[in-house]
Amino acid sequence: MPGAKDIAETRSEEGSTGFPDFGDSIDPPTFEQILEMDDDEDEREFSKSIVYGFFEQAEGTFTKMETSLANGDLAQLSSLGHFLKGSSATLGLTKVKDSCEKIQHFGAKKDETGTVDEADDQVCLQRIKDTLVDVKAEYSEAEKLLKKFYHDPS
Amino acid sequence: MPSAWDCGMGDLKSRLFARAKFIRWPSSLSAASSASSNTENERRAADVSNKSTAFPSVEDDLPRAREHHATPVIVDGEPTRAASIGGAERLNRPPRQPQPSPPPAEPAAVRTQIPQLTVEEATPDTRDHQENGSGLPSAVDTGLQPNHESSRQEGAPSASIDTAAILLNPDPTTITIQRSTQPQRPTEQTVRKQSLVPRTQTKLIRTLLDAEQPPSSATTPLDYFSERPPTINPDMISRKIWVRRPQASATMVTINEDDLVDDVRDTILRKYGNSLGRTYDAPDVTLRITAREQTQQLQRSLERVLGPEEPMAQTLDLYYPGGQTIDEALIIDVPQRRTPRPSPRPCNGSYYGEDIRPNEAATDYFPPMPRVPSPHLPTTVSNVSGQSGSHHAPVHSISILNTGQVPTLPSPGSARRHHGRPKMPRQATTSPTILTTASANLNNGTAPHPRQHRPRVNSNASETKQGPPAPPPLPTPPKADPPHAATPPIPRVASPRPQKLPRRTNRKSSEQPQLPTGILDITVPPINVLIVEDNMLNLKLLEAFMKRLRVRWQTAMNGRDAVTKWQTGGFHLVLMDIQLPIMSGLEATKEIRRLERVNGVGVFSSSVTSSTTPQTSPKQEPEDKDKLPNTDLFKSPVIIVALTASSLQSDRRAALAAGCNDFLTKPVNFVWLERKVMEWGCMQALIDFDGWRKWKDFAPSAAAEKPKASRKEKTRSSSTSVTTSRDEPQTDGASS
Repeated sequence: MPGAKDIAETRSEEGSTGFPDFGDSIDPPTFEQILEMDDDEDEREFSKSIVYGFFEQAEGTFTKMETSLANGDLAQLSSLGHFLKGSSATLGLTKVKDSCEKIQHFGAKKDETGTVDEADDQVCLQRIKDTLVDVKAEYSEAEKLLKKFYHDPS
Repeated sequence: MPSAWDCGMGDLKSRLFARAKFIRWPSSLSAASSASSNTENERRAADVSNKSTAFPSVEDDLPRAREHHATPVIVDGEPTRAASIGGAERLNRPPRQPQPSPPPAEPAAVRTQIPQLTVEEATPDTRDHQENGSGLPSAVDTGLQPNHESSRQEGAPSASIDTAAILLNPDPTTITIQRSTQPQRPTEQTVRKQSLVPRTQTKLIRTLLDAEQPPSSATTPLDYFSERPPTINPDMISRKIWVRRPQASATMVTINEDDLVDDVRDTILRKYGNSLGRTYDAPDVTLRITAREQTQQLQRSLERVLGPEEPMAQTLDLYYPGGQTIDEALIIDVPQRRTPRPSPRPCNGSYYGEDIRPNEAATDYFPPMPRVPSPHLPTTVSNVSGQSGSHHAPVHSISILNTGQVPTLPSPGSARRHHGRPKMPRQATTSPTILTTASANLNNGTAPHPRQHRPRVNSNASETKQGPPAPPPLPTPPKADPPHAATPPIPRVASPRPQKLPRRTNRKSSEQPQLPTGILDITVPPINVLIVEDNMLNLKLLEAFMKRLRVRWQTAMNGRDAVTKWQTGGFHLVLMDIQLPIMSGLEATKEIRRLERVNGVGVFSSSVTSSTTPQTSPKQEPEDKDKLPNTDLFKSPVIIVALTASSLQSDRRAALAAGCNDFLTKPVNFVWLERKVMEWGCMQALIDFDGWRKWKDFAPSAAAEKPKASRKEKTRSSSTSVTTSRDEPQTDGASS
């Protein structure tokens, strides 16, 4: 029960918020400031709506990315990457955010840091394809943690 | 003599449990001399001292000590006897026997028991055996021990009698009965005693033995039997106790016998010098003791926290007769670290922004300006707090100013739970004051009944709430010249320290929302914010944040939308996402600046000192399509804060070049956002102050209406006048 222990400890140190240990998937301060917006720390209505909104958004975006990938639409991919980057950054999902940023750069025909141009579309597409796999894994990890946090059995 | 012995026994009985472990081996040794009466003690002193001198060696010479114990076993052939406390005492007593003057009958009885022990101690084993053999049957001997023990418990007189009885007439039954009362535990205890005697106690023992009054020294051990002799310093007697932190392994700390729990805490902090000592003070630490199963009846609960005033040793003895085992270590609890939570990100200690995001302080781009003199300070503070008392009022006033009509209440949020956490002390900054004043002024300028919406300036409630006492009002400088000179420089208002975000109370806003004092620590200027953000998620979050700050806001999803909304007027602050569909944030910013320029909005194109109100300094007439519908709603250039997802300097420069005033990195840090809203909002209010001055000159009639309008709330009207008078110094300060 290391997980339960972590939660308990965090709670006691924290005092009231009960912020769990999400490891490096989620940036605590960023996520916590969303939790701070909750009126009720038991219901967590607001943050939950944000988080679940993000789930929908992310899954929708992944689908779109797949489509764009099939179409070879780099610009769209870059835009989608940017879009999801904003959301994940807001929630503090740092890993997802970083991967989305890469996709954004790849879609803009750059390398993953966004500084070097990459002329070959196919290379970019392939990179996006790889990154997409990563980001999905990172996303599902974060999703699992978050759903656990919100006591969502699913 | 008998009486003395009796007393000793009685004393022993009463103290047995309390003192049980008080003195280990050495004590039992001296216990021999324990005979409470001085005369007897004196007589034996020499003898005792001889014997007991050997005692310190007990520790030094463990094997020998064991031998002592072993001896009785051999002699008696009784396993139970071997390690019992009684055994120990018997050991002590032997010394008496050799004594020249044999005590009367009862003592003799006692002594007779003792002899067995004696043999073990000082005399050669052989002798001991002999004595045993000759004096008493082994069975009796064994019986005696228990008897002795039980007699202590039951009462001194009986004890001696019993002993005598046994001596004279060793009756197995008696023995058995007595033995039954005798718990088994002493066995192990004795063994432990040996090992626990710290070397440091050698000194004690020697002190006892070498003391001027040998008898008293002899008594020492005898805490069992008599009062502690005055010559013995309790500090000399130390013991070790087990302590541990929860879920950690136990450790021993040395305490003095008469230490209170409070002292023990000190000791523990020294022992845990790193993990606890650096963070906690002794009073922070609590010790928990867990009762044994058997002793639970002593305490209602199995576990309890020791009070600082409890004597440690006695408490331990009470709980753990027979000695504390490692499993019974006291548990050290320290308070959870509950620091005040100044920011919404409490768990991140390093959160305070300057270190982390220095760039966003934007000092590079906005070099330090002379601070605006704050003649208003007194009012300011109270204004701020007053505003917090009725937070909707300012919103009304500003909205009336900008829209000409009373807007609905600003986005009533769902009820918020109030966190009773410690708040940062309020700091008197100039900005909030000015802000309130300015907005009030604006209000006066445009609204027919502005007074209704005045914040409750200088209300009593605010007095109680504000941290620093309001300084006495400054003398009002001579009236300032024309409003022209009034435009203040754009100051970098001192950032308020990050504070707890205001929370809404559960109370629905009634006509006059009554906020408990202390709930609203931050008074954000009553500004109107345009949020430009294409991501619904972020938008939702920003909206929620604006709700909490109780500022009005509107949203736009793309750059074009943003420009259109801005053109309706009345915005003080734009939070502009840079990467937007249709028209990027940078383009939108440029467009807004262009429109401001052609419409001659605000001070942007004019110098600080020469700036005038927008109405009085029109530039060339803008083309129709660019003309703003209502220039009255554009008192000053809007503040545009760029929201950038990238932390690249180049992006920031681009944003600033496009006309943004400031930027924030996404994910938006709410503390920073709040600061920006506060700072820029205050600045905006400062700028708008001009308009109020203008109105004031124009409308004495409006001023005449004040009393009427403020009929409802006298405090408001009075505060208004105060504010009014204070405004002049402000103007001067700003213009100078």
